[in-house]
Amino acid sequence: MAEESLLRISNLTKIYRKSHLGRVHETTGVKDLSLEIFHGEIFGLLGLNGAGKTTTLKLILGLLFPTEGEVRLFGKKLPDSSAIRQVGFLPETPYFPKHFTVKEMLEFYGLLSGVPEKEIANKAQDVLKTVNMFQNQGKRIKECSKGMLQRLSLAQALIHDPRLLVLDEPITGLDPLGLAEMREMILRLNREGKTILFSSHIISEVEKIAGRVGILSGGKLIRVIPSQDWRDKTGALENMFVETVKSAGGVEI
Amino acid sequence: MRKIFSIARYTFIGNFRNRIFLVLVLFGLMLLGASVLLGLLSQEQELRMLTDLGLAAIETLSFLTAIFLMGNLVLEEMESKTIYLILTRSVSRGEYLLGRFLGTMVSVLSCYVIMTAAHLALLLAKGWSPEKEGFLYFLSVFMSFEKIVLISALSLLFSLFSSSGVVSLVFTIFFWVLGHFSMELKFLAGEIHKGYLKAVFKFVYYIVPHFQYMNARDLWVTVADKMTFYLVEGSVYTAVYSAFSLVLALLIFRKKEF
Amino acid sequence: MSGISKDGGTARHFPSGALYLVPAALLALILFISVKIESSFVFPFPPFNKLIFNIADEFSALTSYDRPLGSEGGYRDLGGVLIGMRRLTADIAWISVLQYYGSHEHHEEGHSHDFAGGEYPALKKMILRVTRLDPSFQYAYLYGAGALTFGTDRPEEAMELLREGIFYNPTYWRFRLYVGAILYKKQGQFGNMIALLEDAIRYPDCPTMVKSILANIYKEKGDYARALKIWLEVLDNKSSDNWYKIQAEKQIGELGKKLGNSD
Repeated sequence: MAEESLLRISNLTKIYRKSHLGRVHETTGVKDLSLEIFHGEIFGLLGLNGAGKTTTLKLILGLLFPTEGEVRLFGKKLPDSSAIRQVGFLPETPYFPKHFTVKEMLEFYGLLSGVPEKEIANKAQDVLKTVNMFQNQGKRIKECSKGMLQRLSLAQALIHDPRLLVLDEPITGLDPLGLAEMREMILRLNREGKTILFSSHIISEVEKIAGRVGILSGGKLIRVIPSQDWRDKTGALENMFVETVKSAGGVEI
Repeated sequence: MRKIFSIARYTFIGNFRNRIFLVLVLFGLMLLGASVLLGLLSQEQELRMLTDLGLAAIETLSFLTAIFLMGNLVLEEMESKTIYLILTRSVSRGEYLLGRFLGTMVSVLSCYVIMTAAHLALLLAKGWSPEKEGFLYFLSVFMSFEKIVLISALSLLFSLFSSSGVVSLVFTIFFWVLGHFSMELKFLAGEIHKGYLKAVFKFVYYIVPHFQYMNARDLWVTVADKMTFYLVEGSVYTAVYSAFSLVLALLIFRKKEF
Repeated sequence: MSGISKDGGTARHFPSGALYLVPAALLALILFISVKIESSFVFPFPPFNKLIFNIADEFSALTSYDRPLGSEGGYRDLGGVLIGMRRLTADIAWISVLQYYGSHEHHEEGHSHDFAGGEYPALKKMILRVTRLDPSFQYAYLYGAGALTFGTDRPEEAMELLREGIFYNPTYWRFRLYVGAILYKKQGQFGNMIALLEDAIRYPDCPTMVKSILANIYKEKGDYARALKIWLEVLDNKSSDNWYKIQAEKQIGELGKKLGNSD
């Protein structure tokens, strides 16, 4: 059960401004979003493409800067490097420089996340075993398949033993076996004490793992639904999602 | 500091796996060809010509390598999104930028040192005497690399400012040329009578990097009697100007969103 | 720290105001050092408008393959200056001089003179092209003075060259040695001229050409022993150009015979 707020987002707004031929064009990424994530929970951000899921995650991670509002992580106002150190991020599509080996990249990311140099080799080995990439650690990135890169991506998110995992569309594009593996991995990590925030638009998978779901539409957090409201009710989450999005106007950005 | 060195090491290894060392092969071939040709053409000035050609080739190849690497240093990672997994860690943007810059400079320095060693070996084989001109040679090599450091910092600034590798390249080459023209700018400022135009030329003269002043390779014997002062002043100038460029680059980079 | 803008604009991730002071301070320091450089640094090169841009005009009447290598010159030299390669550009221009001075000029009748035996009307200008690029290229002045005085019998041009050399290299006293030799030649004081040339050839930076000139002077005066000694030195000297070594062998053979006959 969730106890206290680990991540608190307060009135977060992100407006993109582009100027073209002297005219400024504004797009709202996220509008007045407030949300709390509690220790130990699995929270899913659900929304259509362009609803603001990735924008929200990037605002938490410091890749984007808010127009208004604030984010507090572990009680500290972001940006704060000691707070960010406890976060592991899995991007939607893994991008790695191709000339390095799997092991080299993992150790590099571990060092950047503050893992002591004398521990990094062992930690890397452990994490590679966890994600089933131990036997491929000597492979160059350019020689790795998409599935291997996905597992490496997860490994780099775990190397520094973070308290919060932020996963951007972790199940998109996976085959059924991959889906099952990822689902099991997320649940296992949660059992080990990690808090998980992930985004997705695949409702059928979200309802299997999330403890709470937030529905985003047009950059706004329309509704937060606890799992009791859809658990064991076939199609309940999907119906709630469709109803919520339609009533919100289903505005796409 | 540890993170800066980690990023620098990662940059250095990446550059060499990207075959930056091919520039050394090119240099070696150039030097061999030149030594044969110059031996035939230059009568008694073979050593002078080998020295000048070698130093010019070392600087040119290092310059081109540095600006191509710097121009794409951050932009390539931004475009390929490999930067996400670095900036989403407890790494400040300043640490990232400085680490990448240092790693690239060490890569260029490695090639620079190897080319210089090869050049020296050739000169010694041809009978060059380090007793007479050894310190001048060292000064030329050292100041030349300082020019590379300075222009690299500017190149990084231009790449972040323009967000385009090509534009950055053009600006960098323009500043390289302008910097070597700085004394002529001063001369032109003296020749012009119109007040505002004179002020513009003077201002540009003060602002552009004084590459001509740092060009010990060309100044050679004319700085023989004040080498230590020249070395110190040139090094301070390089450090300050490079720091200025890097701080501006950081101010721009800190506002970048991904 | 994040800054939050209350005016509805973008809340920028600005550093504190203090960080903007750093580039301002560095810029002030750059300007300070620039001013110091301006006040203390004497630029040892002539301004760019003194470069010889129109050297190609001297060869416009020749076909392209008759023109000396690198004699297109002109604005290409400026290009070399602009990328900080004055000395190398001067070296390339110097090769052009050697190509020119060593070339066979064609007479109107269609015959050519011996190697390095022509008029070479553009010689001074070609050497000035080199020395304006790199005034510290002392060898070029010495070679040029020797060639203009003894090769083409134009001592006035040689003096102009040396005067410019002295201006840019005031402490290089050997120019004055050559000036003295030229003055003596003009006044017909060959004994004094020879004495100065003897002094000049003692130094390692003396062009072999000047040694060959002195040796030829001795040969014409009938002092074959001294001429032979100079040619032997030329042959022994590792830095002598091959062409001079070939000349040295030839002259040593001739002089050896003359000395043998006179015994």
